[in-house]
Amino acid sequence: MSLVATLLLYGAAWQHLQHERHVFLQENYMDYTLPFRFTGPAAMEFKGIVSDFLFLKVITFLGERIGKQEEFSDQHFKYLGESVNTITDLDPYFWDAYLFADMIFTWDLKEYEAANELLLRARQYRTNDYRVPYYLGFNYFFFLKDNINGSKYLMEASKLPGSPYYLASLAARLSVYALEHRIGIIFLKEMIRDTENEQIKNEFMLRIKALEIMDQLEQKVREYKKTYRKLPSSLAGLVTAGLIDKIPNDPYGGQFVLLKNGRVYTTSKMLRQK
Amino acid sequence: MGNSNKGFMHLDIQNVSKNFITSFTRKKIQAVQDFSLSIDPGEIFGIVGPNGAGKSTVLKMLMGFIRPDKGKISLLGKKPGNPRSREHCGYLPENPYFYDHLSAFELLQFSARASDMPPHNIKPRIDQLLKLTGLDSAKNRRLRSYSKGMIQRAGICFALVHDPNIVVLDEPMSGLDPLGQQMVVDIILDLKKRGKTVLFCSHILSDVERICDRTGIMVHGRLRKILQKNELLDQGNSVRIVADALTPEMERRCREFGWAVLTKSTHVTLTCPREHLSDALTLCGEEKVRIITVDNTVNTLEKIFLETVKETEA
Amino acid sequence: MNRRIWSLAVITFKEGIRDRTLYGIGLFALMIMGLSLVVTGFFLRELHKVTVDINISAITFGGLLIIFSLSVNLMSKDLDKRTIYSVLSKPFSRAQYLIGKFIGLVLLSLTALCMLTLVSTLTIWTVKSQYPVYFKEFVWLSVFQAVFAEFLMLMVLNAVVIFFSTVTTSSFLTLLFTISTYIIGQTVEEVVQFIQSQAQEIQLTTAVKTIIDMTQYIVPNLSVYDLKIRAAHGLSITSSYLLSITGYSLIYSTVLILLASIIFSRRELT
Repeated sequence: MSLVATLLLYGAAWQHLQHERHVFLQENYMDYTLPFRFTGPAAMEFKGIVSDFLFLKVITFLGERIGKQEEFSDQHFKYLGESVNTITDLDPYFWDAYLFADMIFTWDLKEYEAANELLLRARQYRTNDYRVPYYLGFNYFFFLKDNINGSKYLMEASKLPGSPYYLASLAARLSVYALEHRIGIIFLKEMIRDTENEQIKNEFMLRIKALEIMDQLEQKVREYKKTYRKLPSSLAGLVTAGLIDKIPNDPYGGQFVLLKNGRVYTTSKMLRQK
Repeated sequence: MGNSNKGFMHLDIQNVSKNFITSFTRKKIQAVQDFSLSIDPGEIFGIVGPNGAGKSTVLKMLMGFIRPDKGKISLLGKKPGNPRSREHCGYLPENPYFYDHLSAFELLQFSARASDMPPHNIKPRIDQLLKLTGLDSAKNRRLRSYSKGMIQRAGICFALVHDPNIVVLDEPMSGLDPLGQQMVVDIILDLKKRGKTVLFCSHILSDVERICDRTGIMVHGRLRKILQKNELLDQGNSVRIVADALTPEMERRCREFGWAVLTKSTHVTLTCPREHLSDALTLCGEEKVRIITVDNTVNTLEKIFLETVKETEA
Repeated sequence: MNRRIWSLAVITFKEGIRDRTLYGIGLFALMIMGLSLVVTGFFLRELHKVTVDINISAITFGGLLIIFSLSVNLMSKDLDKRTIYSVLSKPFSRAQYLIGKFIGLVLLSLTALCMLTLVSTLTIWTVKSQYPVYFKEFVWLSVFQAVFAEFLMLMVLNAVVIFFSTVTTSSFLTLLFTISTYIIGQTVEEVVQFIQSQAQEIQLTTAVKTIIDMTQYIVPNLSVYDLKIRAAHGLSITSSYLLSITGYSLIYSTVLILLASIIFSRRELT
């Protein structure tokens, strides 16, 4: 009899605790990851498994936020950044963590230099993994508009085992014809094939759309030059000459401009304004 | 230094002393004092003494578990610190200190191998010993399941499996029923017949008296007396008559003949020389003294033992 | 003489194998491995890393538990229960006794490790067959090399247990000192490197510096046996490295046993 009463009491106490705990966690939800200086020695010879655990924590954290459609504050990103640093310090070969961090740093945080720093670290350890210079090259190309470095790293990637067949020629063309949009389109189309994330795929497709428009415009400019033996003064000239109906809209909301050397660019930097 | 026809004594202990300091009170305990003993090959030597007399300490020094503070020990011509001194020595510790996860067979196998017995001899020898001590049916069961007596028997086999030249037994009879005790006596006598040397300590004075060539009485760390077998035998010439009560006339006759009378509340013990036995019995018949029993056993050692202890206390 | 030492090793081994604790530890390690079958589902792509991480960590943890419970007890029981008398009454020197116990303990660790590795192999193979595409970087050899390195570490720790059991009289103290040695041994290299890299910023007194220097040489550097991360990523180790750590454990263990023999020879067994 007294046992039953005690068990009931326990049940009630547990319920109460659950509720209180929930409130507590809501208020103090910001987690903190100890820097590697501490977790490293503390993990002793179990660094691998600790890095797995921390990574799981980070993914769950992110998943929760996305699931609840919550906004990411600066603190969130700081936490993610520090966590990823600790994780990759514990296991410097942890590709999933590098990739995850790279995605967040570039697409969400717009911290392109930090992303590349991380990838450079990965490059020191994962010397035979083509994906490291591949993503480095991509970052330079896509986010930093630096085709020179982009091509350098893509070339490096193409030499490593398992790299996609198109990399070598892509890298070569990127370096020689450093400024052609067509190369970028091919690159992005390949990236779409490898990407599972719908959001990122959409980003790529948007970029491809912009590049295609610019590429077409450049083609029209070349046609103009062939006919009139000089470049038009602006894109409006193409309309006047009947080569295009109207100046197309930049899907990023900027304006297409014609440069002195016959190249077409946009004022929008081709990145979504957030 | 003792006469020996084998060139050296099997055991030679000279003026050995050992003190212990109790860790708590820092008091010095003199466990063994100025202990000297030499044993010849083929001799059976028994040490008797009250609890705490230092008997086990002497044996432990012999086996090299502890070192004497003073004096020298030589076991089969070697110092106890030299493991080779134990090559032909068999030891049975007091209380069953054996690995109880092993079966008797495995225990003896270990003892045999550790003494470098030739492999092909081991199994037959183990089987022989196990049969001798009655452990044959339990030989593959773990010692954990053994009774105290069985463990003791296993321990005896343990000490003997490699057919040592000297056997050191610390309380070999402990835990054994009378059958077992008799078995031990038989084993020891058999060892002697085969020319082996035996040193043991025991509380069972009657057995010690029976089988030992020499007996040592140890009290408070010192070896007080060493008795030869024939000494005990000589003094074992008396017979005791236990009776209800003696008549005054009977008592007078006892005094006349010089027979000792010991009166207790329940009975009276009359001790007389063996050759007077029939006379004493006749007298009892005449005086109508009711006899309870006639005790022929020799308890001389007990007497001397108690005397020695009393002397020491004084 | 070798037969004698081996006979002691055999009964020591049997004592451990017949101890129920061993099976409790085995079960525990098995549970952790089973966990790896479940947990891999949470991860994205590098399933081989997680699976190998968990499995080798489980093996290591099992091995460590055996050292801290069984090895420590097997040494202290001998003295507590006085079973050591039955051994030392035979022609064993104190050194031979310790060597025999050491070999028995090492055999015990080896057997346990082999059993755990066998189950681990099955676990990894199961996950691998389910998600072959995520096991592209996986190499079996690296896994076995990592387990071998763990075995070498366990050998050293067994020697540590033997050393401390001759120095102290309480099994708890032996346990405490062994665990401390393990922790210090795992972290000493890292700490030294950190200090050296921060030499300018951190002001250390010469006393502290000397202590840390001495610790480096006295305490075994156990981090050299941690090849788990490399195994998780399919990177194998050079044979010269393996040879080097094998030599290190053999020599270090020998030094410890020698020291222990000297200390133990002076000890009185009342």
